[in-house]
Amino acid sequence: MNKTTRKIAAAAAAVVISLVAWANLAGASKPPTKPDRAPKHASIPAPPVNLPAAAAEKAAAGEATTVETDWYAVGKSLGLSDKEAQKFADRSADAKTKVKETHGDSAPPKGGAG
Amino acid sequence: MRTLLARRAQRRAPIRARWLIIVLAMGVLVPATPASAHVVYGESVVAQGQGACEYAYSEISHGDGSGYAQIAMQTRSLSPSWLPCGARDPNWVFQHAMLGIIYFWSSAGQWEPCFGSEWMIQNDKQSSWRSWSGLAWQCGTGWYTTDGYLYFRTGSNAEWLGGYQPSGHGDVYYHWANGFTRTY
Repeated sequence: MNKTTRKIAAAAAAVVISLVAWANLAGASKPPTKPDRAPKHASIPAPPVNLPAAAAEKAAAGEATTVETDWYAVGKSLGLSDKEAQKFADRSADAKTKVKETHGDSAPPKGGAG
Repeated sequence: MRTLLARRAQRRAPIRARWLIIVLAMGVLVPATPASAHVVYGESVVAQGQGACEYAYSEISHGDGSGYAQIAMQTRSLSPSWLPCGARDPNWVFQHAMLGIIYFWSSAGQWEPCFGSEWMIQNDKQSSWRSWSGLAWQCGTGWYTTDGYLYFRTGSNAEWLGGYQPSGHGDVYYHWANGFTRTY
C-alpha cells in the first residue's frame, strides 16, 4: 500500500466515521415525530376568593405568596391514568427544586429568553 | 506525462483528504450546535371586568438550550371600542395570580403535562411575569409548550377574572429543548 492509497483509505475511514457520528447526533437530537396537535388544555379553577390566612397576610405585606394546586386532580382531568397523574403530581413537586424559577413585575419582557 | 500526473495527484491527495475531513467535520458540528435564537409566543386579551382589561402572554424557547418558559400579564384600563385593551394604567392596583403548566411531546406521540406550578399571588400589580428554565432537566430532551393561567381582581374579596394563554397558535406554539448541557 503506497502513501496515496493510505491517504485515500484514511479519508474513506474519516467519511464512514463522520457519517456514523452525524447519524448518531441527528438521531439523538431529533424526536421521532413533531407535534401535530395542540395539547388538551387543563381545566384549572381560579384561586380561592378567600385566600388561606397565611397567604393573604403575606400578599398584604407585599410579598409573593403561593397557593398549592392539586396536580393529581388536574392530571386526571386531562385524562391521565392514576399512575400518570401521580407521576405528573410528583414531577410538579420536584420542579420546585429542579427547575429554576424567577419572577418580576416589569412589563412582560417579550422574547427575553432569546 | 503519466508520471507527472501521478506525482501531481500524489501531492494533491493529502490536501484533498484534509479538506474532505474539514468539510465532514463541519457537517458533524454544525447540526450539533444549538438552534438559533428563537422564541415562540402567544398573546391575547383573556378577560375584561371590574373596570379593567387583562392582556396575557405566554412563551416557550430553548433559553440556554435546556428550555425556557415564561408567562406574563398586564392589567390595563378598559379599551376604547377599537382596541382590545386600553393603553392607560388604571389608577388602582390589582392582585395578580399566575400559574404555568409545561407540556412535553412524549415518545408515544402525544402531549403530556411535564409539571405545573402552584399559584403565585401578588398584591399591588399592574404587570407581572414568571419564568422557568431547565425544562428538559425535568422531562428530557424534546418538544415543549407552555400554558399560562393568569387571573386578576381589584379587591381581596372580589371574584378572580382571567383565563389561560398558550404559547402560540396554529402550528407555532412549541419549541425544542435538550438536557445535554446545564449552565446553572
